[in-house]
Amino acid sequence: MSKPVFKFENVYLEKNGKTILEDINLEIFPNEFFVILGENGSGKSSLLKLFNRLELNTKGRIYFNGEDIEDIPIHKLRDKVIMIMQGATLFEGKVKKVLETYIKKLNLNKTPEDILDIMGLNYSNLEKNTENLSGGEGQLIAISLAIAKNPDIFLLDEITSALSITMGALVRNKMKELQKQGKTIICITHNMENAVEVGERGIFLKDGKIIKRGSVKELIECFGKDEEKCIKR
Amino acid sequence: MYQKVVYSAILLIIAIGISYYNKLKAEKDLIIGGIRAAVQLVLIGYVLHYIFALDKLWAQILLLFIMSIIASHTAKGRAKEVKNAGFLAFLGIISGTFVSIGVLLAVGFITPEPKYLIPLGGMVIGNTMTASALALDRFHSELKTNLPKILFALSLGMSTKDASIFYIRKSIRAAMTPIINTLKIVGLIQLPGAMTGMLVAGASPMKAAMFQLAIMYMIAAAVSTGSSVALLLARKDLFYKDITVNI
Ligand SMILES: Nc1ncnc2c1ncn2[C@@H]1O[C@H](COP(=O)(O)OP(=O)(O)O)[C@@H](O)[C@H]1O
Ligand SMILES: [Mg+2]
Repeated sequence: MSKPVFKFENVYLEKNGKTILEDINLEIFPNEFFVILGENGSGKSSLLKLFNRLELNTKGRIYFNGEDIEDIPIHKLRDKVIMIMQGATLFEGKVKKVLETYIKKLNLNKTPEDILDIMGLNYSNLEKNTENLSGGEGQLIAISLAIAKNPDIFLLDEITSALSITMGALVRNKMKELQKQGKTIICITHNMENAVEVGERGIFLKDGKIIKRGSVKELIECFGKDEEKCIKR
Repeated sequence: MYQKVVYSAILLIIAIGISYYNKLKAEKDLIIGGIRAAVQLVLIGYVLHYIFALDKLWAQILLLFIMSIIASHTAKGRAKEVKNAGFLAFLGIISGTFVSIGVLLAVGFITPEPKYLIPLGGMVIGNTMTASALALDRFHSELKTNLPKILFALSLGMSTKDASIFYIRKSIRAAMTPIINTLKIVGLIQLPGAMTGMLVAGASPMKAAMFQLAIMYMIAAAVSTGSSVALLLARKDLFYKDITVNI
């Protein structure tokens, strides 16, 4: 087996005196399509944010390619590991101007049109305001920006939730294509067909703890069951 | 003069009467407010009398310093959600005052005398306090409402500086809006306080107007300096190193 790209050792996350994640031990391998499942509020988003330090663990160690994540300069880590969240995550303004800002600040060697090409979006979107984009269009642009940066690892937080079936399929196929290109994908989804179709292995979170590890099919069984029943299966 | 001012209490009694007849239930507040105002103004009158008589620069600076501390405390109450708001506002107030009064002194528009330093200093401190508190409060709420946008920008590898500059600008602009609006209409609707005071004291209208103009410019400089300083320091607090948002 190859070496893990990510390794979590006894990781805790506490916020305002509340334990959000508890004793997380985890290995993610190169080129995996890893799925994080769990009920609302179980800590999925918080966990995903730990991978590129949008959240900072309060205990334990996280290793990226064998190196302690805290020793890696933040821009180097985020060149390789990018998170895409659900919802309105683009700055306000005219799409063309907003994209130019991202391109400039992120040193992307691209034009706004190049960015829209990535997910096949219409150039007429450039004249719209980001606030007036449909949820789907905004999400696709955010995805395109992440792809334009060409990271090794994508962290996806419910990115298909706001998408129509067609658009969802488009994104799913893009992610599979990225995996074929050698990328690693770690994703949270509430769309179970999605999870089953693309996901291979994953974990089920409950109250900040991993209560099950296994194939996506096994994990789905955990929904609505209490801990003991789920573990017995 | 001293006796006649007592008669001005008739005016307060009119206000209390109106409140009573209209059942505004503001009588108690008016009485307490009226008494507080009298006590505070008499007290500050005494302190100023003493400081003017002393005519020592250190005493004037000490007074301004104390006023800045009280102002920062007020700012802290207004920007409750920002950690260290009082201290940040204090640094904003100090720098705003230093820059604006400093320039007026440097160009010789005023001299380091109590009659200039105390009233102008007070005005600058008050205005910078309001502006810093407003800027801090606004920045905090902008960060909170736009958290997903900022996190996504950071996630893509943007620096905290680039990811927040948009909101810093918005907040400074918000803090400057009152003085900008005042600059546009000053003198058209009512005479500003300093000018009124000078006219009452017998200064020529032209002299009073010119003085008022310098005061407005001074406040504009102080407000922009003060709110920028407070915000740039707040950014260090509200972001953990160059890594993530800390609110
Ligand atoms: N800043 C915070 N302070 C305290 N609790 C928080 C904070 N942010 C999130 N939480 C709590 O952490 C838990 C996990 O949240 P989250 O990771 O968003 O869960 P999920 O993505 O699985 O729905 C929730 O109970 C949430 O209320
Ligand atoms: Mg979530």
